[in-house]
Amino acid sequence: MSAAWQFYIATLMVFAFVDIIAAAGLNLQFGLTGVYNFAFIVFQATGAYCTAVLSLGSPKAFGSFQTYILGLHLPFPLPLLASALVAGALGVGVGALTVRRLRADYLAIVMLVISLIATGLVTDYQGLFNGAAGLALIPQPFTSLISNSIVYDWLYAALAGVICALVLLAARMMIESPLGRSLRAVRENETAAAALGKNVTALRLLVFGVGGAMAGISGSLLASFTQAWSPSSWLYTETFVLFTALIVGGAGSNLGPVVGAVLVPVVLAEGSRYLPQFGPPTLVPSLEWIAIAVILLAFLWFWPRGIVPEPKRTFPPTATVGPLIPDITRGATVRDLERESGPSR
Amino acid sequence: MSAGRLPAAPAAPLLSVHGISCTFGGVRAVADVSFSAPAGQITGLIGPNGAGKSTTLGIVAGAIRPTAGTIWFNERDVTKLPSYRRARLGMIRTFQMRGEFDRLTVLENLLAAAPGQLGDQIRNVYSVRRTWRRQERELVEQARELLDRFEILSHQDIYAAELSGGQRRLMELARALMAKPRLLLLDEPMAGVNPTIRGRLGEHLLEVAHSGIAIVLVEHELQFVENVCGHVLVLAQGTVIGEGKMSALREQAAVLDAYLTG
Repeated sequence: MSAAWQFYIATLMVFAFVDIIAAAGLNLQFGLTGVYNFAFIVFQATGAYCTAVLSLGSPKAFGSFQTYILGLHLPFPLPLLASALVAGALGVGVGALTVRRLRADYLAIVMLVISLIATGLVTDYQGLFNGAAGLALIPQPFTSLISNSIVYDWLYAALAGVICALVLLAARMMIESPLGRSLRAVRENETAAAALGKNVTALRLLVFGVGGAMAGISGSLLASFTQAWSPSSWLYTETFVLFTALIVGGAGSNLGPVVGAVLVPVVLAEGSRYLPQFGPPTLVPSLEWIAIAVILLAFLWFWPRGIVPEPKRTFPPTATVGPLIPDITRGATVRDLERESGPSR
Repeated sequence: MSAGRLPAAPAAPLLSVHGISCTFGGVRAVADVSFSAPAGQITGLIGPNGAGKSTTLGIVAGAIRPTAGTIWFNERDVTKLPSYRRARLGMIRTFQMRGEFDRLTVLENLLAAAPGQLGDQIRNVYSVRRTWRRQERELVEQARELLDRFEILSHQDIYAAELSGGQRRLMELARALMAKPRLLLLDEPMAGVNPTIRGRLGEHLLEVAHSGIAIVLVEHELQFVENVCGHVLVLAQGTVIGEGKMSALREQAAVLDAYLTG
């Protein structure tokens, strides 16, 4: 295989793992808990910027051609871990301001607005992350150890794959636990969930935090790999690509985010590269967005559960044992009650 | 069934509601309603449509904030507690409609209600996996026994959305019991239930009350109320216009006026 092909495939693998991690985070929020976080991409961007300013050295070291805060030049994996923590904390913070007071549909609108505000803020406040031009020369981890760039890309893909597997495992354990069941109960009927003792706000904040942390990890891996990150990398429309991926793959299931992330952002986006160029230069990229919208509508209409639907959870048969709820299951029968209270009138 | 053979109940009221009022945009839905519900007894709330019965139940459960009044449960003022904290104290409600978790199976609906699950905490999901799995197996057994008792065990693995109206009522009651209640607040448990199930549901409620649980139920089916409720309040236009035994209430002119003769 030629070096170009190897580079291309390794890059696609990194993108796929990054998208899978992000989709798994969104799956906890939207698929499992029913939270419409239309600002999801902001948390990926948080991870990316966090990794950038923690792994980059002082701006002066580069002749101040770009301006940004911090510039701590921390070694891997500290920027990755910090990205997860900061994005998770931001998730809890944004969630605390919104989920307590807003119904699901209003929350969606507010999150979309937050996404737009965040883009505007980062673009206009150049001292933060170098404004619209974005950050470049973000250091890649372990580059001093591996000089061959092809080998490095394959190893980076492997690293992303391992992190992706760990994130998926953590998400799966959460989905299949009683906690996952409580989150699905909140998704299905928040009033009934609260009436059974579920702290709906706390559960939503939890998925804002955990999902935000996953988004942060995905952003960190992406920014380290591409070595550049700017506001155009995380337009609000990217959130809808992830939503489409999740709905196509199957929201609420373990495999849904994997299938959706591979099919929508990777295969569809890459597939458009192979289309013959026709019409004005912006036509094919525009058609890509139209295709995503059509696919989203088609799945919502015809296959709302996606390619890998959320599985029905059943439990193996249990041996019949003695009553475990004595007050109810050993409760007197109606005849006993009649004997105690005298005959009916 | 009849009120005459109700179990002897302890005298201390588990639930005391004092002068609760609630106004929605200038409309008084509930005005100065007071009542108590002792453990081991079924208390009925009846009245015409719009009388404020469900609002009263919602206020007691913590879903609706009252504009005045206090609610005491087990000698504790719970007026300002949110509904999930009242539920954790043992105040469990069912709903007039749409109370199920549609895309959870019937068994999972019950499991979701079980309090004190280790695996319901994020810190335990990853650390004491074996322990919470063992606890879950025990809860599955408990849930299956309850479903068996309510004769819907054969439906344990279907989604709650696929149950009939009557089966949903049974599931909701089983689920409420899975939550280890001390007080059950039931909003029209007979609505949409066929006569066969209705009789069985009445028997189940009496058994539950007999086990020491206080029950407050809103119901339109007056014969059912007469059969199971030891004490009945009649609400009309948000106020209590009569209370006592159902048989006595049938004689009161104000009650007849407001409700019984319709």
